[in-house]
Amino acid sequence: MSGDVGLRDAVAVIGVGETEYSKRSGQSPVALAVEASLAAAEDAGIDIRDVDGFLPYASGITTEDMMANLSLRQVTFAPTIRMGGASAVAGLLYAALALRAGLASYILLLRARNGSSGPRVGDRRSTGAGEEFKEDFELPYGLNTPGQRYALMCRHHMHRYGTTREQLGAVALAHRAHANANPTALMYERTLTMEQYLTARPIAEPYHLFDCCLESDGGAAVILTTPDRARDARRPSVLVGGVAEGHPQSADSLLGRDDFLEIGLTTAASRAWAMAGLGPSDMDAAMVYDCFTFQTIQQLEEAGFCPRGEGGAFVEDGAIGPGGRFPVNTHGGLLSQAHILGLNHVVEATRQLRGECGDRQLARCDAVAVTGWGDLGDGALAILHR
Amino acid sequence: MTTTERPRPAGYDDHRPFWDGAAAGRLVVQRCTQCGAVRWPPRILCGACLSPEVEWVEATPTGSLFTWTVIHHTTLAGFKDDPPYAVGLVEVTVAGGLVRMLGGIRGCAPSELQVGMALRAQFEVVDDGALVNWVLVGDDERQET
Ligand SMILES: [Zn+2]
Repeated sequence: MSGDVGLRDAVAVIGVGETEYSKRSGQSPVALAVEASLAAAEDAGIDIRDVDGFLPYASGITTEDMMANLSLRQVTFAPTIRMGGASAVAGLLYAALALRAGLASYILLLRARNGSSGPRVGDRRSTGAGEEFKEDFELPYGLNTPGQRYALMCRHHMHRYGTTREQLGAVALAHRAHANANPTALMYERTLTMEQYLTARPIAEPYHLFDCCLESDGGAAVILTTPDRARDARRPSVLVGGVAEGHPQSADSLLGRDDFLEIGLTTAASRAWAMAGLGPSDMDAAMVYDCFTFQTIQQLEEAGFCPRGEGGAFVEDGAIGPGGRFPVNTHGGLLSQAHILGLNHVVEATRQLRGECGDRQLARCDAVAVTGWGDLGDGALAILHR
Repeated sequence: MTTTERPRPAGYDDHRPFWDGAAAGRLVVQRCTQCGAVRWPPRILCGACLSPEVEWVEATPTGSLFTWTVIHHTTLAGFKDDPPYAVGLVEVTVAGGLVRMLGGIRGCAPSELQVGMALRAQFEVVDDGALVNWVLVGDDERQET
């Protein structure tokens, strides 16, 4: 598969939109979806009714919801992508296929949820792949949340490579410092010190409170089209140079994996880099699906930003924070901006590439990598560039 | 089941031999009768040779701690009085290979757990199935084995 540039630059991001991110939206997820979609259409300079492609999320807003509430005239392409938190970035791959094949002209990718004020994300029983195995062999032992499962991976890495809590803390602090420069972040006004990080209450050790992503309400939307159509857009367009998805061995269970740290991103990365004709050293920043602190380190390793085992050292000393050697999640990410299922990462990459980020704008930003992670390690990587 | 009860194994048919074994104090996993590869979790086909021919073979009910988490915040009402409790993956050697199994880790304070600790399976019959937790092998026990 290497060297397959077929879908290089098949997708242009022409519009992005977000609602306010909050702990209590006071609106339905569909209302949040409508608000974010209209904002994205306004940003793109198109009539929302020109949207004819939609990329629904497995447990979210449906195509029918959006057709009815946005008065879409017709939808000709609407595959559901079932990759959990990797679905947003993987969606760019499906958009590339559809746009290149002429199946749709303007594709709406959106996420909207009441992850805080609705049924609590952390309280619901986890669902997804491998349910029968989980019901028989995991739930009866009191294991049921993503954080508990990913803590198992974190512990393994700490043992094998000497990764420390202070290095996990460096990830949390970097995200918080980015959020402190982003007025849209839930944690905009809340600083975090290493002392606070280290003494926070344990959740699922090695994870403590600040290793875990936020639960939040809000919506984000992105409008995608062909590079040709993008020339008429209101803003400078951002192109998807390469994009790929991947799935780990024993995809429905952490048991049965010969290589316990291999994830979908491990195999997706080389394909996405080859498609883009770019590599990790060409990136000015990365937006990494930071569901938990260690998963940020793990994805930096598996995407190729550093060798496996060296991610802990890679994130030390503010290296991924504001002004650092390699900024990661300049919006604050899931850990400190909001948990919008990783679509907020695509929005931020687009805004950085357009130079619209105000106080947190990167001095140089020509290319940004965006990762997705979901369902026990399904992964995706996209390379966005100007 | 009411929400304050502990979740019990649902007892899917594909896993039935495991329950029958555990209820009799035997730890069993799948092995391909074509190529001899052992596997866990249970699968329809052998991952190595795709054969559907499978037998359930008994493993020595001991293993070593591979990784674990100590759960302080549970979202399962039936476990609300348990934290902190440890759940981990245990490497078990079976003729034909090695598998990783998941269960509660007992027998010492969660803060004292270490990778590689020797563990022994502890069987507990519940409803139609059985739970298999893992307890630390004591020093005296280890000398015997
Ligand atoms: Zn076989």
